[in-house]
Amino acid sequence: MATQRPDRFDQVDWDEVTESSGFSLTVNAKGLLATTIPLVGLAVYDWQVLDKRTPTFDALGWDFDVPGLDYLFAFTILLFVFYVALPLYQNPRMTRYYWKEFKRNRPAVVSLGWIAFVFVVGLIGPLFVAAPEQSVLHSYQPPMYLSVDTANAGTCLGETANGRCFGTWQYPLGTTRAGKGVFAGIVHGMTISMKIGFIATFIAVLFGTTFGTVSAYAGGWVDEILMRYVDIQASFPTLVFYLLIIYTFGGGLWLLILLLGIFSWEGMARYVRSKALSVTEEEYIKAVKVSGASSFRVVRRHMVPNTASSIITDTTLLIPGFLLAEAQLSFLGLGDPTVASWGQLIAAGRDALAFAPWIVLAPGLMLFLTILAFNFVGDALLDALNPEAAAEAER
Amino acid sequence: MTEQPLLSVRTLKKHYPIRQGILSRQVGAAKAVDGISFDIYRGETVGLVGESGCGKSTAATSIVRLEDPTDGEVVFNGGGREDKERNSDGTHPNDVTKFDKQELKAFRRDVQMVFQDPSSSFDPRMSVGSSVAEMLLVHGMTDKHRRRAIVEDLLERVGLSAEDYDRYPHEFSGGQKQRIALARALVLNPELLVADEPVSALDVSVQAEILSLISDLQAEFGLSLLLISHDMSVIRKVCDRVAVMYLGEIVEIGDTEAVFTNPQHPYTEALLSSIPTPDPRTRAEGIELTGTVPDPVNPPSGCRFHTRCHRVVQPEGLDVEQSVWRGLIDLRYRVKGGQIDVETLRENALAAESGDGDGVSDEAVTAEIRTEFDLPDRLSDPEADRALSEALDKLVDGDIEDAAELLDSTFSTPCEETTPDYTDHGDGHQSACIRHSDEIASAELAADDD
Repeated sequence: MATQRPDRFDQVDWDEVTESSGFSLTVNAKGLLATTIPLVGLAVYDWQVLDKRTPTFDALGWDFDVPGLDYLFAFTILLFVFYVALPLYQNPRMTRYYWKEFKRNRPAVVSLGWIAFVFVVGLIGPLFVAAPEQSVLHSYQPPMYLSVDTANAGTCLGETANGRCFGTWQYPLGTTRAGKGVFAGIVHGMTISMKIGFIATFIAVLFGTTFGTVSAYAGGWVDEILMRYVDIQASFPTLVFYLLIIYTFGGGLWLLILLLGIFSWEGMARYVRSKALSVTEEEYIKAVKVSGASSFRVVRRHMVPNTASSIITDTTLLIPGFLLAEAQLSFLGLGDPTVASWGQLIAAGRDALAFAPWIVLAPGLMLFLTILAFNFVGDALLDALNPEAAAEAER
Repeated sequence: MTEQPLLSVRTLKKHYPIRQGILSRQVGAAKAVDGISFDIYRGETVGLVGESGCGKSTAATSIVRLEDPTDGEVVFNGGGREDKERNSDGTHPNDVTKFDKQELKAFRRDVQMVFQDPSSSFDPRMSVGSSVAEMLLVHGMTDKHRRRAIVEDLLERVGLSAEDYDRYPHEFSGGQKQRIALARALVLNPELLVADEPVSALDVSVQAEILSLISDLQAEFGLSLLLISHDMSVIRKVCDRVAVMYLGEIVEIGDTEAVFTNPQHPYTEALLSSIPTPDPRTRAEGIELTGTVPDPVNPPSGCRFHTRCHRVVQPEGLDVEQSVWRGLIDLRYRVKGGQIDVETLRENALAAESGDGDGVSDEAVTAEIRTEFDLPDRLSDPEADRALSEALDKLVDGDIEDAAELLDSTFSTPCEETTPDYTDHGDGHQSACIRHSDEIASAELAADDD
């Protein structure tokens, strides 16, 4: 450029600026696009080019098939990275402030650690631990350091003494009746839990936030229609609907996740709307409107971030609900029997509770701890994510 | 004046419909702004003053089209739209209320607004710099570094430092936030600034700083300013011209000096008398306005101020003292509204008589009413006195409707019958008071001669 452009507000040539104006993307959007496009490409390739039985990475000589649901899972993780994790890195001062507030709640810090652990193990664990496989000979092996009556166990892999079979490192947490390792089941169950947590939550947050903020901002008949729809959906018998679908199409994890996500956001929409209503009255919303910003911009840049405390805390209460719902349906035999979820493991162990309690206890404990952790974290986030409250206290 | 005004508002109205029932039928409207007209010239500061609830903020939001006005015209001649003729159908090409999306967006650059409450005028989740820079982004400036440079320069101009760009709103004091709000309003280089109570949430010392900052910026960048305030002293300090609003209407408009030294409308007089004088020796003879602002859904007929006016005109053939007349009008409206509780008055009278006997005479109660409305025992006008006594007797007997009717017929004022027109007092100083219309003025003069 030959001349330095003036950098004073009264020397801006607005005709030039508005004419040259194009489309600009934030770093976050660019990152998301850059990673999502290959993902979509891969999905299309898998779906259109390869036949059903060929593993996705067959061309690279890697025998690894990506199930359809995992594309969506990967996408929600990318969203999480670019719109939750990256903004925290971009605004270090805000992050430090939140962390300082969050840290006050000790159980929440421990809980966050636990959730991170489940997340990481669920993500990379399956690469190291093989999926639990049926092996009838190895049924009811006890966990390490525990024993079971040889009459109950199949072929005992470990030592036998006084008519009791002892556990081995091959199955550190014992096995089920079908001889599936409980430890492998738990690791793979983490993956399933993460999928349920991420995908169903993504769907619920997407709908809940959109409905809540849009109906609060638009008001009038838009508000009326959206919220009456929410009322109708809230009174919809989801369980019966789910049973009907299983009966007609057969169950599957993806169906369960989809239904959980689609039929769970009514509460969030109402909660977000009530918060958003107070935000619409704020003067900064008027100020942004006076600037000529589009409604989309007002909702996306101002309404959603300022209702984030409601969204995030409600989310942390939704996720445990999803995990529990999956476990309950699996326990009732309505889940997807082909996936190794914690609920399936619990269901598999319920007949043998008398002599092989580990099959139920291990995944049950995991479920309990994870749900407890989400509740603790949600509680602490509610306190931490409220700069208005802090600002009011300063005044 | 040959010069074209930058902004001219003509019979602007904003009515909020009131809906009832399951079908949401409109049963009435709150007339927040009901036909105001004024002009703002280039570089001029116009004040809009009035008590809370009179519609000044609604006027502002309607002018900048945050809300769509019900009726009227806002012609904005800035931003390269100068010297346009009216269309053949009478509409004006520069009428803001009819701007389409594109014109409106360009208009947003030329007119900006400063809000009242500094604590809520910034997004708490955005650094103040980003909040200011967002204005530039909205209008298509995609160059991040350029935005930052402009905003940092502007922050320094309003008395902050460039480092404040990255700080969050809660880290600033109210006065600092109002400076940033000014920066935000200025960053698009507008021609007109609408400031809605810009200093009323601030300490008096900070108020002065912000006001002088506004004046400086105005002088430097040739801004026009519409300043909305309830505070007459703020208006006097800053404004070239002032428009006084009461219940959705402008009752007086003129050069600030003329309005302040020679107020023509009784409401302006009352507002001016509310300014505290720093001299302890001059005792303020405050004009106390009785009653509250009437409901804008159902405004008083005629002159809207007559229910509270201390100069409410007496009908022909009646001659009582002005304060007594005011009391009579108050009494009349209270009786009409069913707001006089005879039983309570009776008990009060009983207490005053120290509980002697088994009740109080009706005379004692009427006396109580007279004291409450500052009415003497006998009115100077015998005919009026007779009517008053009769009405009071009926009131005490519990015949409220008849009492109200009698009061209505005897003590009616021309103010409630005629809607006053604007009278010119020279130099664009206008007021809407019936006392300035010829016949009433001459009658009053005649009355003064007695």
